[in-house]
Amino acid sequence: MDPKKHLRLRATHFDLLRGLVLGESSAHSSASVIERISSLSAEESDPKAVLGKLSEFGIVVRVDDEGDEWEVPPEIQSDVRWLWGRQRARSAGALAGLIDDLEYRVAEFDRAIVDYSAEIALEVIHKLREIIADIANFCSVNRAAIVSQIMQLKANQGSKSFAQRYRIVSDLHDRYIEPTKEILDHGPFVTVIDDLAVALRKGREVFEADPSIPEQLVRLDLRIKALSRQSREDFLVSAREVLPLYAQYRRDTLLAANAAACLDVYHRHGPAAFDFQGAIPVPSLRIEGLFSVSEVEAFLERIGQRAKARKSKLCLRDIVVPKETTISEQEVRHRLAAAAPVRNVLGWLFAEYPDLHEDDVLRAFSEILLDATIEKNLYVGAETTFIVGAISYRHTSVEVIRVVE
Amino acid sequence: MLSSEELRADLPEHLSKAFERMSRGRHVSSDDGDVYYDLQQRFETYQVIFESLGFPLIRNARGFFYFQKESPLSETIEQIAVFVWILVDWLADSGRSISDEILTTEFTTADLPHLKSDRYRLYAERARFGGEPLLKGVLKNMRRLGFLRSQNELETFFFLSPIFRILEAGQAVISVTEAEKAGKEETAAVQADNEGDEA
Repeated sequence: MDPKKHLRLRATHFDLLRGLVLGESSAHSSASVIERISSLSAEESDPKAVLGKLSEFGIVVRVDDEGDEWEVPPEIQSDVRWLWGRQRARSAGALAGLIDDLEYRVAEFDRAIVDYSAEIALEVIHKLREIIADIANFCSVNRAAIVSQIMQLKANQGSKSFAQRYRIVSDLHDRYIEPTKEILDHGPFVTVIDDLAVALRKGREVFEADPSIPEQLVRLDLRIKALSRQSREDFLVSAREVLPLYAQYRRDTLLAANAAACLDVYHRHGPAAFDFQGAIPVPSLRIEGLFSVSEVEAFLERIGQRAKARKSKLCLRDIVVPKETTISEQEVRHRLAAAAPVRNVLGWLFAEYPDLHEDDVLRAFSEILLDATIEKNLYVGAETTFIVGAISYRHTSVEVIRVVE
Repeated sequence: MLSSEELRADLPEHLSKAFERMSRGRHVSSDDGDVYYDLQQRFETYQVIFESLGFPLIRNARGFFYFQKESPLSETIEQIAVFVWILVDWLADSGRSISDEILTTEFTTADLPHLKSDRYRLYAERARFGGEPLLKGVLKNMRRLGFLRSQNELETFFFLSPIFRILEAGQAVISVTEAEKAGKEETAAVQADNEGDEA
């Protein structure tokens, strides 16, 4: 058997092997294996031949000589599990566990210093070295795993639904990024590294005369400094990969959830359940030539001179020559009846009668208030403001429900 | 705060054009060329002037401008909101990234999902755009208000950044909470039962 070809086959069909090893059952029928080969590679024209090749190189073997079931041999299973473990980020809980171990060993080293036990000190130094190596390995493996997962996610967007991609990224965010940030920035990692640095300094003083401990402590100190620097860098690289995608997917999920919720409410309750005007107010003035730059200049001139004349209150109606000076009560009732319900009747009057002077609009408003045949809601205590020109009308909000004809 | 003399001395060049567009509901974005750039450069001046005329000028964090002023006409906004909700729902179901694609995709009107599924068609009909001409009418209104642009009579179109005003309004447009509605419906049902009993 050519080992290179064997390894190449394993690499080519890693996804298949992972599925066979990590599935619920360790034994798989020929049909099931062939189906997996087809689904993993649409271009594969002869899945049966692939199964034959894998069998030839001992990558899959028959469970027994008689049956039709296949399995991955144990030695290859453990390789697959190890590789797959390195591809996936481990949760921050594992890091917290390593830091707990480190804390325990630091306390043990402190006791060795107090007892002046060089033998125990050397033993603990060895264990400290191992734990530091484990922490460094945790951070670098997680960095590689996260970068790899994000690259796969970005490269294969079509193969996973949006919900699946969001689940993967938010899992990375919630299980690794956020808790690790907490551990590295504020938590026990900072404390234990500081405590260890103090312990090493004390150890160098106490075991100064020992032939090997001082040198080992110096090397340990260098490893700790390297760990402190590298773990932060590994974390930052991971965070830079995950956080933008997490923010984007979270935003998209919120947008989708909002749209679905609104459609649901719209379906069940219709437009009456919505306040489009309040949430998304959009003006729709239709008067032509309403705006004049020269009038704005004149307005600014008047403000500068503090003119007190009534015309100095710049108002849209001052720009446009009023076409009407009065309106009939009946005409207002008729228009209001057609438009009801009207949420803010003063605002409605100003919009309906843009050519009318404010005095006449306000007169019509007071007539509506006094008219008992117009059903209204007065929101006492809830004042609303309507601005016309430089004038701000602050008034009790009045909603007209209907006009009794 | 700018003095009236300072304002008078140097009124923005596109004051009138900006007012004409935004008073008709248009959201001004980079698609509006010089008007947009002038608003960006001299926002404070525009804001002071328009505010004094009763038109609060808003600059959205995504870089577009509009007047925040109510109009009694909300049917147009209702139709636009329903149109956008359907599109977002469809993008999400297709596994596509909404925030990535909404501004970068050239949508083809003939391929829109609004009239293609029974569920979406029901929403569209309720919002009174359940046919192709009416759907195109909604697109025309969206173009007029600055939510999208099209080079070819709305055969295809791109959304503009103001579309996020609709997207990000989210559930704030819902005026009645589900609990209130459920409570009201239950009360009405009980009342109807009581009246039936009395009869």
